[in-house]
Amino acid sequence: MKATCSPARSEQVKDAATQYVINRWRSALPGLVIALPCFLLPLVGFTVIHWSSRLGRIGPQIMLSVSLVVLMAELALMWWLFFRGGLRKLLRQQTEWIHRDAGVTLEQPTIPKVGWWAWPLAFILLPACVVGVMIVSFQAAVRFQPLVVAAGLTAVGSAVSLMLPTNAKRRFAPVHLLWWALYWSYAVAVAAGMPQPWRDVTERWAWCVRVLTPLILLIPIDVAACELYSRRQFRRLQELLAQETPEGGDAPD
Amino acid sequence: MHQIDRLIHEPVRLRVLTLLSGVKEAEFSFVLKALRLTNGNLSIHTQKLEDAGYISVSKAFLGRVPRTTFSITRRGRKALEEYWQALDEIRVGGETPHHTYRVFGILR
Repeated sequence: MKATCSPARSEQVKDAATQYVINRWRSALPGLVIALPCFLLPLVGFTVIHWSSRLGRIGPQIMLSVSLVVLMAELALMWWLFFRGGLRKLLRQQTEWIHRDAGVTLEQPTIPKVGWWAWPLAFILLPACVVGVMIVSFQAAVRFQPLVVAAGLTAVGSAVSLMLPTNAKRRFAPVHLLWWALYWSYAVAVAAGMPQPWRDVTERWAWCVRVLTPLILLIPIDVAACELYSRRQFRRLQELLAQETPEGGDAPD
Repeated sequence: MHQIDRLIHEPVRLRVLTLLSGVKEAEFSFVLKALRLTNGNLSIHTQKLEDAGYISVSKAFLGRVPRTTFSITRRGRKALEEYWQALDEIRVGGETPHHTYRVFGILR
């Protein structure tokens, strides 16, 4: 006869424990440490190149040098991350740290295995998308700029999420959708006429402040949502285990 | 027909095994919080499970802090599966008390 209780309960316990671990707020920090330089370096590089064409008083040679330094830093970071095993090392350390911090080690690895096509995607397409979104956003009217950025981020985020295995997507989705939803709300509200912060600043460099500051301010909300979700999963785990009483009743010790 | 394993049949030990069957390893403090137990209670039950070879206990120091981790052994996993199978047999085919007594090892 096939057992019907144990595998189902074990799977539920496994699911709750996994969601508890991977959604703890501390688990988001190493990911941010890895993602922010990848995201910010192309941004800074492009902004510097853009300034160099507009601001003659600093000197094009100096600006060009700064641009080259930023570009070299980005290339060095990408080279270390993808070709020297840096990403793998960081993720392994992150996993160990998260497991030690949570007090539990999961059976399945939290680092997804990705195909070869993920590397050109991360190395070329992701920075290109960031810069592409910025260019399109610069051309748009000020009130539509956050909308362009929201659309770009959603497209890039969806492309990146294709790399994750199905179960990871399902586990990450609820809290991260909240983040996208909040930024979309902000973008739609601004497009509808809500006054933006620093709207009176007409210089292009203020784009970063106007568009990216709300995005960065939303990170703590995302992290808090992760933590709340994680705590709920821990309570679910406690409830699951509290129900774990055989029908036969308690046996004497 | 499987016999009910009386060692696993105790609710706390069943919960410990169920929790460990869903993860690779778990620290003492995590199990304590997840099962809402006291230190002494958990220690006694895990010792019994360890003596039976159902879980393995490793003790180490992380800096100066002692760290005790539990993981289910292959034997423990098999015993847990057999326990649930036995319980399912009672649930599905054990309409008669005679059958139930036999499964519980009261009648042989």
